[in-house]
Amino acid sequence: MVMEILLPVQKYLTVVLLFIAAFMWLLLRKDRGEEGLSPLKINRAYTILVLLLLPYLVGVFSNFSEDIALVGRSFLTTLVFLSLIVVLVKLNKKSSKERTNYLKELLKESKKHPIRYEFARKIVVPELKKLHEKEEEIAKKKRKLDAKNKADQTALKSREDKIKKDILRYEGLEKYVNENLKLSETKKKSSEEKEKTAEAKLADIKRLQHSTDKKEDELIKKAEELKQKIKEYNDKEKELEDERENYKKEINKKSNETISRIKFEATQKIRHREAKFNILEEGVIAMRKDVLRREKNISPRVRRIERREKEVESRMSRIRMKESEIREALDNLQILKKKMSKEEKELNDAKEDFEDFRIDTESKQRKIDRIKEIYDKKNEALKRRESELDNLSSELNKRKRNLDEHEKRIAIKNKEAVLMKNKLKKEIEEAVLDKNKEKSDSDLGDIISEKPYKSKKANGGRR
Amino acid sequence: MAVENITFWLDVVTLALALLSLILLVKNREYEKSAFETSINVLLFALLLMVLVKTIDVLSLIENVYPGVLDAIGIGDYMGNLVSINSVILLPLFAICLLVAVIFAKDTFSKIE
Repeated sequence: MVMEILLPVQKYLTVVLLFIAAFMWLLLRKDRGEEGLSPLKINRAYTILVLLLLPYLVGVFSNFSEDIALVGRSFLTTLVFLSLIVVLVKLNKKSSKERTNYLKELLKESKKHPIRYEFARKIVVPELKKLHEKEEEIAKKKRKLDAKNKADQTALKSREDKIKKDILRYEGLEKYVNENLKLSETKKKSSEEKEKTAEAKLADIKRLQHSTDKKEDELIKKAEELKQKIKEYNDKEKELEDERENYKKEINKKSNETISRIKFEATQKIRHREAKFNILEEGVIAMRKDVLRREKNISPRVRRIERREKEVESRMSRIRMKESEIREALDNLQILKKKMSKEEKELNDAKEDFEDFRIDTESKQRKIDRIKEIYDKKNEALKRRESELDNLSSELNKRKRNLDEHEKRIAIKNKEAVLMKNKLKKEIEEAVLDKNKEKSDSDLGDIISEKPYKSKKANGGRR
Repeated sequence: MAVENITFWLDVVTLALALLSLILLVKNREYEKSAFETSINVLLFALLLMVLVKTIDVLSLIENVYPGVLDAIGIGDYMGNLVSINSVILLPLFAICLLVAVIFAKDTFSKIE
């Protein structure tokens, strides 16, 4: 039920809306004309689309049969779209032609087209910026690569140095061990020699003991001889005996002490040397073991070093490859730079042209401003003069009015003067008449006019 | 029958022309000033709605010319609803879009002045 009502209502609504749209558009078209609608290139398409009102109008408000209305509607719609397509195709061709012309003009260097600047500003400048950014990126990458290469090289050098140092140290250690071995041998020899010397010393000591024994015997002999002498000298004998005993004791003591000391020292030295020798022997053994262990340790290190050397070589080859790539990139960059410089030159030329144009326009603008100022000044002066003239004219008018009033006053005074003159004339005439009357009274026969007579009579009457 | 045939083929041609005009209008939009872009976009939407309207018209008429096609496609049952949607929603919407496009164009002209 709702749909049954809604369907015709919506149809009418559609027609009304289309009618409003068509009315608005056609009114706009009438107001502005064909040239006024030129900013919108497809204004004809709007006009044709607005004409879609017709088929729907036929469909809703026609008195024809339903079939004819349907066919008519479809036919009109087809016609409208056909015309729309024709218009759009024409417009498309025209616009594309115009665009190609613009683009061709852009390519011509001699023509200063405003789009050239826009093109330069909107397309060339961002591209240049991108190029600069790419250049900077490449430079950064190059710097990074160089730094990395340097770091790798320094690390490799340091490793090489380390390895060399290790090798030197191991060589030194080897030498040291050999030297130590030699030293231990020499020390052994020297200890043997020292033993021999100690034995010789012992023999000397024995010899000394023997000699002392001999001396003792001699002394005993001498003592016996002395006993004989002591007999002679009893006091002295005891003393001598004491002395001899003391001396003997001392000698024994000393001899024993020296023998024991020398023996102790010799044995101590021998033991010490033996201990040293043992320690040295142990050290040598430990060193041998250490050398063997280090040799064992060095062999994987050497392998590692060799591996690293290979890696370094491979890295170096990679670095060389990268270097070649970088060189290529640099060459490309240089080409790009050349291109850019060319483009920059062109841009600079364009800028210069634009600057010239701007300067010309600015100078023209300045001239126009100056002319405007002069014109304004003149205008102001003219206005001032106009106002002065207005003032003068108003003053003139005032003066004119004053003069008119003056004239009027003069005219009135003239009139009054004329009247006064007439009056005076009359009075003079009357005075003359009075004189004449007095004369005629005296001289009979003078003819008197009727008028003075009447006035005279009247005056006489008043009196 | 002949009338329905003629109407069907005319509608088919109209649909093709509407599609073509839609494409050409899109191409022509590139050459227009950006100020008119909104108006042209609305007009394009209106044309799209017109294409839909014509498609539904063609589908509604195809049954008369080639009976059983819709059932074969599987949309025979929805055709009644589609036709009512066409005349209740799509056509007024097309008219509104056209009106809005005209109003926008008028506004832009007044702004350009």
